[in-house]
Amino acid sequence: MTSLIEAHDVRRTYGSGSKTYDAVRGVDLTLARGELLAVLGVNGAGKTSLVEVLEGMAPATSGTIKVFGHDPHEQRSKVRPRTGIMLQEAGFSGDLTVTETLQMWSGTLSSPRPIPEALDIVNLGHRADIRVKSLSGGERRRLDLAMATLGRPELLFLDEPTTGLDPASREATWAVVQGMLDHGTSVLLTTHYLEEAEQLADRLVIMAEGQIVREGTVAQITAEEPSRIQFDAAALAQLPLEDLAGLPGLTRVPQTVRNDVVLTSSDLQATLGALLGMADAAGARLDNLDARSGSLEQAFLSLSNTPVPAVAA
Amino acid sequence: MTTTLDSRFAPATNHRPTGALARVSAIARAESRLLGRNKASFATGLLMGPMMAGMFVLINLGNTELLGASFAGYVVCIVLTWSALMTVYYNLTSIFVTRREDRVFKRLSTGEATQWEALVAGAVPSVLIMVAHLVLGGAVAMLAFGVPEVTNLLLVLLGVLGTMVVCVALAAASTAFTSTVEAAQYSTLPVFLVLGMTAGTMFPLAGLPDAVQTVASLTPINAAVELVSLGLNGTTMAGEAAGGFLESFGAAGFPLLVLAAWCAVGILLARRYMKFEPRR
Repeated sequence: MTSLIEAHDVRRTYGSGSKTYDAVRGVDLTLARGELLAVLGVNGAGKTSLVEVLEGMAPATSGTIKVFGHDPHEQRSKVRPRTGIMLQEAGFSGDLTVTETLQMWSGTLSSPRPIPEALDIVNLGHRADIRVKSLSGGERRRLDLAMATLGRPELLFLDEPTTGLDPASREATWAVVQGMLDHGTSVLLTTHYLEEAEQLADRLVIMAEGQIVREGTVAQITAEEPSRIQFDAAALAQLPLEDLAGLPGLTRVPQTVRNDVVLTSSDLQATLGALLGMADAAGARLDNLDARSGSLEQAFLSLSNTPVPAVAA
Repeated sequence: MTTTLDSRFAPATNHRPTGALARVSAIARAESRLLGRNKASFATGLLMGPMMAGMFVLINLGNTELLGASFAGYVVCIVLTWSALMTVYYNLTSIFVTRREDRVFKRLSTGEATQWEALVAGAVPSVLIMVAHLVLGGAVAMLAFGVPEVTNLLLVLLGVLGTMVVCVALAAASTAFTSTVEAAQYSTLPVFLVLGMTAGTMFPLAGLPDAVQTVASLTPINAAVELVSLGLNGTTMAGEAAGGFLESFGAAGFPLLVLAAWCAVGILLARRYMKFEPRR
């Protein structure tokens, strides 16, 4: 078996009788060993509902889920020793110290790492004897990460792990996660930070209305998005829109948005090269020129706002 | 160039599964620390039960039907009542609500412990305080009034154990209608008053109508108190002698059944109504 997670036609429905809500509508998903899979989607897309059933925190309404070959909800004792989970909102008892919190957690785990090592990894050693209620928000997230990794898991679920962290703390968090990935740990990540997903994910899935609407590598997903060229509209004095419409590779008619001219292209190099030649020939100056390939942000926004077809029950 | 991987990040390869007892013990140790650091819970759990028991002991000192060492057994019944209600039922309702609202139960359930193991662990410190109340209260009463001729220690243990189970389970079920810690002060009142007034230790039930006595005999703390009285004094709470060790089992049949039924009902209610995370 190469996939740690194999999920097929997973559904999760809230409510009963005539008042039901389908939070997850027929999702297929796999996660390979040593892979980081990012799950993206706007609020309410079904990410948390999906991740909770994959974690075994809640049962799926239907469908099959196998984690390490076992149902994570029904065969919890076989899955949890090998899994670490970092929730979006941590639940700590504020009157315990950092060390006491980890001691308690360590006592419930099969193969915990030494607590000084856990503190050192997340750089909380200097706060070991401080009560949790006195920690900053970022320090609490680091304690949360320490707890999620204390059992030296093979599979890590991270739900928005760097929300509220300063840039240095975010880098430190990702160094820890990368270290675990290098050793073959698999990670399923939900995040609102697209740049994190772009930099770290081996694969992405984008969810909308309870379904996966796009999946693949970052390159595969962004390849389907048009490139964008933008420059100050003052250049229109020498380069009218009618002339710009003849540039190669354009996917739509050139537009003006506020004080800028915006061109969308399926071939950034061809369009940009032709534009620069045209500007040279016309003696036009392209102030604030910005040219970029299709981005994950574009894909995310377009997919999140596109109505999803209903799925047959 | 080879890069040396940091071995600290390597996943575990050999898992030695922990047992439920080890997990509950680890969480219970942390819960004991928390109880000690929460002045309100600590004071309620440690002091309120004995204070209320002491007050009712003083009230019942004039009860001439129970003289000498028999009164010591009666004191143990009073301590059992108030410790169960204050230290276990009321205190644990507050503690369980706090753990729920702080998302501690949910956090604990992301690991190898189950939510029910976390709940049982949360109950351990309060239950141990109740045991301490009974031991110390019983010792003081026996020093003051004499040592009763213990008839059946097993009935005493069953009564105490059954009380613990019922009160922990009812505390868990009571969280269903207790939205905040502050609300526990009044949400627990109905159960508190009914169980306290029917126990037979606040005031003697013998003078009440038969129907009231019958209803009272169907409540859990009344049943537990009957078992403790039979076990320590060899008599029912009404003063009827039950004979020796073997004969006491005969008299204990009905209260044992009632207490066992309440244990089952309490656990069913807890499983049905206990929620381990805040309502969304």
